[in-house]
Amino acid sequence: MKRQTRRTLARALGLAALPFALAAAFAQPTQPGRAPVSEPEIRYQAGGSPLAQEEMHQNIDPKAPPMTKAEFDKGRQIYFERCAGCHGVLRKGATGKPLTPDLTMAKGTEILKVFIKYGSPAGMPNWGTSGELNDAEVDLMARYIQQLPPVPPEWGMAQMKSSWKVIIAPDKRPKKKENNYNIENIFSTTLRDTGEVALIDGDTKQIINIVRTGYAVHISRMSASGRYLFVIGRDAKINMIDLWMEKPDNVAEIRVGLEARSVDTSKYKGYEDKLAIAGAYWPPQYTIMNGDTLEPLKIMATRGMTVGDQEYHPEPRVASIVASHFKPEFVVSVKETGKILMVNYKDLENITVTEIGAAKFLHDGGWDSTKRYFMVAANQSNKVAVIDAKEGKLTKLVDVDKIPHPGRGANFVHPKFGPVWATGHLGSEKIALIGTDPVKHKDQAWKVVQYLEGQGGGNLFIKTHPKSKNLWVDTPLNPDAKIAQSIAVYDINNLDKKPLVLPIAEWAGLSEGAKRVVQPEYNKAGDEVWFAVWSAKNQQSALVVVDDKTRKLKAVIKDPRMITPTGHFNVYNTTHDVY
Amino acid sequence: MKYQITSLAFAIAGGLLAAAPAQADEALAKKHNCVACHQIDKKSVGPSYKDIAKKYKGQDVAAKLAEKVKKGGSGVWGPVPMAPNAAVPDADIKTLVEWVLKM
Repeated sequence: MKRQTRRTLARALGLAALPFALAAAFAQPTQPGRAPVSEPEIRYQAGGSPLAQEEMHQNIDPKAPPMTKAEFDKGRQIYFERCAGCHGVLRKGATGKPLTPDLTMAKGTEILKVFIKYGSPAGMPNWGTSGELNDAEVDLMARYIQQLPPVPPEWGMAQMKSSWKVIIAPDKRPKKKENNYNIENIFSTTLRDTGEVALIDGDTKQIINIVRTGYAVHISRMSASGRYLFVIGRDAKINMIDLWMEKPDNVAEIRVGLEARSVDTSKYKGYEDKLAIAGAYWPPQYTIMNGDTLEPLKIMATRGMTVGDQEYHPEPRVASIVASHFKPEFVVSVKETGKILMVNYKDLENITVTEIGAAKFLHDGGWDSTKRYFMVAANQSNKVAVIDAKEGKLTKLVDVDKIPHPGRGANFVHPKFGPVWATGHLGSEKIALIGTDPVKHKDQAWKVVQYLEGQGGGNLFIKTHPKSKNLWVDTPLNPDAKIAQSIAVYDINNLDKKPLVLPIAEWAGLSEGAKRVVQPEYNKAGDEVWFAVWSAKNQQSALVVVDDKTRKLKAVIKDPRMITPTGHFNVYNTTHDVY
Repeated sequence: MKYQITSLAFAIAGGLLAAAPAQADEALAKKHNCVACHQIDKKSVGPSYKDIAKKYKGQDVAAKLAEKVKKGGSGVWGPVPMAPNAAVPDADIKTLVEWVLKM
């Protein structure tokens, strides 16, 4: 049964890659006054949700068009595979418009069908004419969204406890490192469609182990000591991997919800390796766990009021989490409410949460070079919020270009403006450099000091290293295959010069397939940059390693087990927030 | 005397309200969800009302367009069809079509 579910899920999510065929869908003019949704953003948001497979309560509204149970279930599955990313689980709207029954019933089935089939200039994809949904499915979906949104089950302590497994108890684990790997230079590579991570020895470029994890691992994070690796799948499953074992492998696991994106560990002095935290999309909550067993200790809900208009939101998703170095605090960014929660973990029984209002639709972000300021993108608001982790305050909201997507961003010293933090954008080709030194470069602090022209929109990650003079920018979600398969690299000392474009996918020497080059990541020494060349599930993929100094190909890592690599995290750089 | 004052009041009110009908019709378009697909001066899912007025300028098409609004149609403005609007009262459709054609 479990296996069956996993397979269907994998198939459902595999379909999410199809929107590449949708290019033509977005050629329509945009509507003034309303933020158009870019194609990369659609691709980014419209990926499948694991909730597609969850049984949900069905309320039949007598005023809504009738549906059979089978039709409703099919509608629910399509909704969570195609629609929930933008319109939300409860259809309150985010990137897409709200689709609650009061609004959809007023429009009626016929109008809804037109929108679903043909799309709209405001960004709704043309699911019918693109061939993704047939007329019967379009009709089904038009009726489905007039029903009350079914509510997925909650996931409280009982569910967490029953999903929690300590595979190797702390006292049965190695007392010292039992392998000869240079563990600080291990890379944890997400194998998206197989539900695994590959642990790769950065020195020898050999695979150490393929570890079974949740589906489509979103990120890898390290414990403060650099011993434990935590990964979280889209299905909210966390795996804890002990890098001291002879062959590093899982020692504990838990599911913290039904869909999730973020995990981190306590980094403050005295709390190293003590606690872990994970944030869920559904249910909208975050969970603090024991740092060596993943035992769930405290679950906190994020449901509440939005910033600004102060309206209740029933599903504010946890977008990203980082750990403060200044205080015993986790920094939890909540998407729909636009709030940053500074969660003090000193006393979980009498917990203190400082709520900082920023801007709606928070996404991801990273520390500035001093690790005092947390820079987080509010991506549908086209802003970057600067949070002072020392004072626990919003320092500034910085206007940037369309749909910033920093990953964790990139810190470097600009030859003219001093320390800056950089982000790319999903919705534009620009790279924004924001001044981060309020002491010696006061005039530039918390302002965009320069925009670099990139190859195009659809950027996900941007990277440099304290020892490097290169700034690497990917564009995996760009509709132009040539751009999606190459990387732009800038000379930090000469940013006015055009970037060099490297054909990374070509260097991988793979056969056919819709390849995308994603997530530059440095090795520990800062002299190599790794890229994932992500191809389809049934095609060969690879990792490409580039020499940072010469910008020439250094190695290609291929292995039949390396299926759909979508990114990687170096142990040392992740432990110490080097980016 | 009393009667005269009343009719004078009517006349003044009528003059003041001369600009109102356009707004009333726009409210009607909103009420019947026309604005989900149409805007007055910009193309969205469907053609703008001004473009429609331009296309049919000088032609006697009110009855034909009312029929289209009621039953839906396609092909004139591209592949995206007009959804049928069977629930909208005929009188309202007539008002709306006339309002659009006058633009």
